[in-house]
Amino acid sequence: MNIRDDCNYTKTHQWMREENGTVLVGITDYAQSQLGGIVFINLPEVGDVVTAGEPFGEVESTKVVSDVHSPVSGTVKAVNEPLADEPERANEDPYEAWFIEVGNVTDTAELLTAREYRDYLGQPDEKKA
Amino acid sequence: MGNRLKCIESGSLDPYYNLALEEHLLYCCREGERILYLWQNEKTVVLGRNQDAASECPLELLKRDGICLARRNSGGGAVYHDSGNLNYTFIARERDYDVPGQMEAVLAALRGLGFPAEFSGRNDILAEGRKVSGNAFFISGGSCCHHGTLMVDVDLNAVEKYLRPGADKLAARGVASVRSRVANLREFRPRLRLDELKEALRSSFGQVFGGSCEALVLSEADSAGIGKRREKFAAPRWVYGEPEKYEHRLSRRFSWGGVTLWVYVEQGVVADVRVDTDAMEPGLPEVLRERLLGVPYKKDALYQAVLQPDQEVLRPDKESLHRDQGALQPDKEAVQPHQAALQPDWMAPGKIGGMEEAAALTGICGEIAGWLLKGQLGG
Repeated sequence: MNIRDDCNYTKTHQWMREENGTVLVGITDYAQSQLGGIVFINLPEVGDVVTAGEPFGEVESTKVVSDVHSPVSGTVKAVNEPLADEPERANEDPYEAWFIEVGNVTDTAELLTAREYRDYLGQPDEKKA
Repeated sequence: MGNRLKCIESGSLDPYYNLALEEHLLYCCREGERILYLWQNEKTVVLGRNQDAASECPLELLKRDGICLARRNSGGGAVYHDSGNLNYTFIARERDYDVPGQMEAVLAALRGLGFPAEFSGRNDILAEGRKVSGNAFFISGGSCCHHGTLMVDVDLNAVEKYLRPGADKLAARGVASVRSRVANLREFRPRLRLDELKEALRSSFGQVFGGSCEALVLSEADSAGIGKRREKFAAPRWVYGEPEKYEHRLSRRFSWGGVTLWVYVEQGVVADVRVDTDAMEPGLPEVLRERLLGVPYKKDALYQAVLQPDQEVLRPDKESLHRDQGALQPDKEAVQPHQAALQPDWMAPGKIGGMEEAAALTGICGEIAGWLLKGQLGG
């Protein structure tokens, strides 16, 4: 299970990382492995307001339709449109296949560090391995 | 955990009400509870959450024959329901949710009635290799829903008739259905009654999860909540699933493939456009997008924009001459020369690579321009 050290995590299996004052959000390697083959991603629109802990989109896999929650409150600055055309990218490279970029961040949900998220999933600490 | 078992049956055949009740149960379910909900719809095509309506069923025919069209919360493909179909839904909070147990409850019910039921890899229950039940799943707000169909005596001719792409089959963005060989349970046991099937489901639900089913009774507040949710399921935007932002959908099938333009107009000009096509022409969506962006949303302007001369094929030959005439006279007659560009001699294989492709693209754009000029641009 890949858990990147440069990201923070939520218990609902989203990752976020700050880049140039805005926050990129996607789903974790664990999330994509649980979902299985992703066939469709519903994304919000630029300008939409997202709320920490609340759903902002949905992922449909061959198994299930599931909400995607926002780790932060803020305004959607950009949406990864190409991902909507190639949703399988979220399976192949979950930490590069970002869903949304959020600016004007005012609040965050309960966030875990990579290490805490590893513990939460009951994964061995890969860093030391 | 998860041992308070509740059962409820819908008294309505209205698909929008039934889907609303399901969603209501999802949001009302508490930890420690498991709900089994049984329901039936009148004649209805039910789309998966992310399917393109026009790609999955003949919309005009549904309208003509009075068949409902609905969209569920879960994913997967389109199904046809009538009163010969029984739907079951299992609802529980995430920590109580148990798909293998729930599948086991359905399989045990069917086996108890003498059906050779087995679970397939693909979310289906099969009897002698034919699908009698399809299952789908969704999770929202920490609650989980697993629902499925049971074909008791569904009109299979209607399945054939209403679950096929319209004449206007498009390569729209969305999840495509997978065809299955289906069977009705009554083919295996002609005397099967709906009430005994319902009873078998309730009783094996109790057996698998260890408890007896308590009837769930809806309050007035519940009914009001369900009524609100019904509006969501009955709304055309939810059912037809047009991308919210694109208010115009222009669709046409040509000899070389289908094209759908989803157009978003702001202050009279094309602010965004999405091109769905199954044409083999490489680069067609990009070329169309590039030519249409920023153009006034008017027939002649769109026509001229799509005909925009491509620098690489701009040469003083017969074809570009016609193109220029066309641009100057945006009327019915002007469309003809561009259709000529699609004659077999232009498309014939064996011409020099780049030129041949560019010419084909020009021809295709000519046809699209002609269609935009003649067609309806309405909402």
